[in-house]
Amino acid sequence: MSRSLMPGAMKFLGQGAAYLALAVVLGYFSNSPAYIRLAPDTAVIKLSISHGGQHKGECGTRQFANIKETRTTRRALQLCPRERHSVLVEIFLDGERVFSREQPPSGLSSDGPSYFYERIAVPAGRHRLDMRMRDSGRVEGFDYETTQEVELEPARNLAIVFSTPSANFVIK
Amino acid sequence: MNGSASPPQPHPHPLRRAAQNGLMQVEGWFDSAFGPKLNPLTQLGALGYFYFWIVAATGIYLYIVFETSINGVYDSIEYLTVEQWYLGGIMRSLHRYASDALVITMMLHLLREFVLDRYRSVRWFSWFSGIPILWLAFASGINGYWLVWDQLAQYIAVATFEWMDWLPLFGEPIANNFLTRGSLGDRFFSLLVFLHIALPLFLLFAMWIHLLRISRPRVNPPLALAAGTFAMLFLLALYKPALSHPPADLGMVVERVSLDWFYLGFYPLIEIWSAGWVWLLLVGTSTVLSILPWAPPFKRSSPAVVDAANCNGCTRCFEDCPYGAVVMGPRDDGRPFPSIALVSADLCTACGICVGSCPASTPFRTSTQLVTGIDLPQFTLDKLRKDVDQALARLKGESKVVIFGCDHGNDIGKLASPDVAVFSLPCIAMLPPAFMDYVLTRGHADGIMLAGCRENECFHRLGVEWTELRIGGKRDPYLRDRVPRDRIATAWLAPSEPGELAGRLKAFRDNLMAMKISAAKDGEKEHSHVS
Repeated sequence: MSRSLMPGAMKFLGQGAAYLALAVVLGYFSNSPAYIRLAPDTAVIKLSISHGGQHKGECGTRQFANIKETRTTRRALQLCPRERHSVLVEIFLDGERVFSREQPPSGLSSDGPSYFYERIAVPAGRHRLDMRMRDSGRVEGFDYETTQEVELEPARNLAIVFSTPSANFVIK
Repeated sequence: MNGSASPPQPHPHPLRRAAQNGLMQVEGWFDSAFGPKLNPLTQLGALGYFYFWIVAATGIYLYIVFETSINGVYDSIEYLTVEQWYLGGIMRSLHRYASDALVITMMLHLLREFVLDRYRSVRWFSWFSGIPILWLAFASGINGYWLVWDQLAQYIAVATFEWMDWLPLFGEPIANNFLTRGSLGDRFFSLLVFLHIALPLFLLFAMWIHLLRISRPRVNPPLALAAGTFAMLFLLALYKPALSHPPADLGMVVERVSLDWFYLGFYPLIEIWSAGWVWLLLVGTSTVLSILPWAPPFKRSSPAVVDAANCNGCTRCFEDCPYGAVVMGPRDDGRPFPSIALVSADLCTACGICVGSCPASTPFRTSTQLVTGIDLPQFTLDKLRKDVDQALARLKGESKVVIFGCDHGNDIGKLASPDVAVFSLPCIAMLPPAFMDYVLTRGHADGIMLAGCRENECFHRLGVEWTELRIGGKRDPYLRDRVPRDRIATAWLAPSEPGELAGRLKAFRDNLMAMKISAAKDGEKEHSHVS
C-alpha cells in the first residue's frame, strides 16, 4: 500500500547520502564562509559621548520668602529652566572632518543628556585628532577643543569619550 | 463517471501548486530511500524536538563545567574543547550542531507547512504560535555564542547592543558596555548564563503552546530516524569539532569572524544596510508571517454537527479527530448513554474524519434519509449515499470501479468513465468502512479504489493512517471480514502523480478482470464436475 522503495543497498546508500548532505551543510555553514568586517590596515575610532548641553536661559535666584513656602526637598536657591541646548561634536583626522553631528537633548522636556555613539573606520598609523564640542547654543566657535596625536595599529579600537568633570575629551 | 464531490475547494495558486509539486518530488526521493514512516521531511516537527533535547542535555553538562568569571569563561571552554575533547569537546560540538540542525528543521517545517497550505482556518493557532518560537530559538542560540567570550562573541555582543540601540528604548547607548578593555565584569556572564537558561525554557514553553490544538502531535521521531540523525551529529562532532576564536579583546576590533550562518546570518546586514533596515526586515517578515492565516483566499467550511438522536457517545469521533475539535460532554436528552459528542466550531476543519468514524454512518440503513451521529452540513452522508446509488446504477462495463478520492490528493475527476465512478471527499477517512462494504457486497461494483494523500503526508494528518487501520481491522469502526480485501486498492499519492494513479487504476482493473475470468473458469469446472 505504499510507494515502491529502493532496493536494500540503494536504500542505505540513499539514506547515507541524505545524512552526509546534512552533515556537510551543518559542518560548513556553522563557521564558513568567514565574514570580513574590516579592511586590512584599518583601525576604528569609537565615539561614545553622553553630555548634557547647557541650560537654555539664565538661572534665577529664589527669594527667601518663596523658599519657605516650598517643600524642604525643593528648596534650591537657584531656579534653572529645564530645557538644554543641543550638543555639536566634530572630529577631525589630520585636518579632515570625519564626524560632525548636532544631537538634541534627550527626554520629554529636552532636559537630558545628548548621546553620541559612532564607529569611524580610519587608516592605521599616526594621526592628529582634533575634537570639538559646542554645548552652549552659540553660533560660532566651540566650547571645548582638544587636539591629540595618536598611534593606531591595525584593528585598534580607540574610544573617545568626554569627561564632564575635567571638561575635556579623553582617549582610551 | 463523475459521481459527486464535496463542495469545490479553491484551487491553489499556480505558484503554490508548482511549489507543492516540487516538494512532493523531493519528498518522493526521501520516501524511496527512507520509506514513508522514516521520511525526515514528514518528521520535521518531531526532529526539531529531538534536536532541542540534544541541545538541552549537552547544555546541562557544559553548564556544570562553565566558569562565569570574565577571566575564566574562555579558559573553561578551551579546557572542554582541547583537554577534554573526548567528552566536553564532543558535548560542545553536539550542542552547536544540534542547535544548527534545529534551525534547519524549523525553517523547513515553516516552508513545508506554507507550501502545503497548512496554516489557514483552525490551523492559524499552530502557525501563529510558531513565530515566537523562531524569535526565541534565535535569541537562545545567539545568546549562547556570547558565553564563549571569544572574538566571535565580542563581535556578536557589540553588534547586538548596537542593533538594540537603534530602538528608542534606552537612554544612554547600551553598546557603551563594551567600549574599552575592563568595561565588563563577572556579573555580565552570570547574567548571560541566566539568559541562556531562561530563554530555552521560554522556548520549550512556546513549543508546548504550539501543539496545544493538535491531537496526537508527533514530538518524537521514529527510533531509527533519531538514531541515524544522532549518529550523523556525533560523527560530525568527531570529524569537525566546534572550536573557539581567539579570546575577546575590547581594545581591538574583530576584523574577521567565522560566522555560524544559521544563527548569525543577518548580522553582516546590520553593518552593510543599517540597524533600522534589519529591524524592518525581521519585524516585517514576522508580521507578514503572523497574519498569513487570515490572508485570502478564505475557505472556512461549516463545522461538523452532532445529531443527538443518533449519537450514543461511543467516543470514536473524539478519538479520531486530528484537531481535538470533538469533546465528550454530559447529555441531557434522556437517552441511556453517559455522554454525547460536542463539536468545537473554532477547532473544526470539516475534514469529515468524524463522519467516517461514526458507527451510525452505515448506508445499509433503510431510512429514506440517512442521518448519522455526526455529519458535515455542506456534504452529508445522505447525499453521498444518494450519489453513490445513482452512480452505481449507471455503471457499465466488465470491471466496474468506484474511486473515492480526497480533495487534497490527486484530481480523480479525470479518471471518470462509464465503468469508473469517482467521488471526492474532504478527506479519505470521511468514508465509513460500511460504505466500502455497501458498494462491494451489493454487487454494484467490482472494486473500490481509495485515492488519498501520500502516506504520512495526509493534509488532515491522520486520514490515511485511520483508513489503513480500519481496513486492516485494527481500528474501530472495522471493515467487516466479509468484504474481499483484494477488491480494494489504495493509492496514497501526491497530487503531482496523476500518471502513477492512472497506472495503479489500470493494474487494479486488470487484476479485477483476471479474478473475474478465474472465477468464471472455476464456476465452469464446478458446473461440469457436478453435471
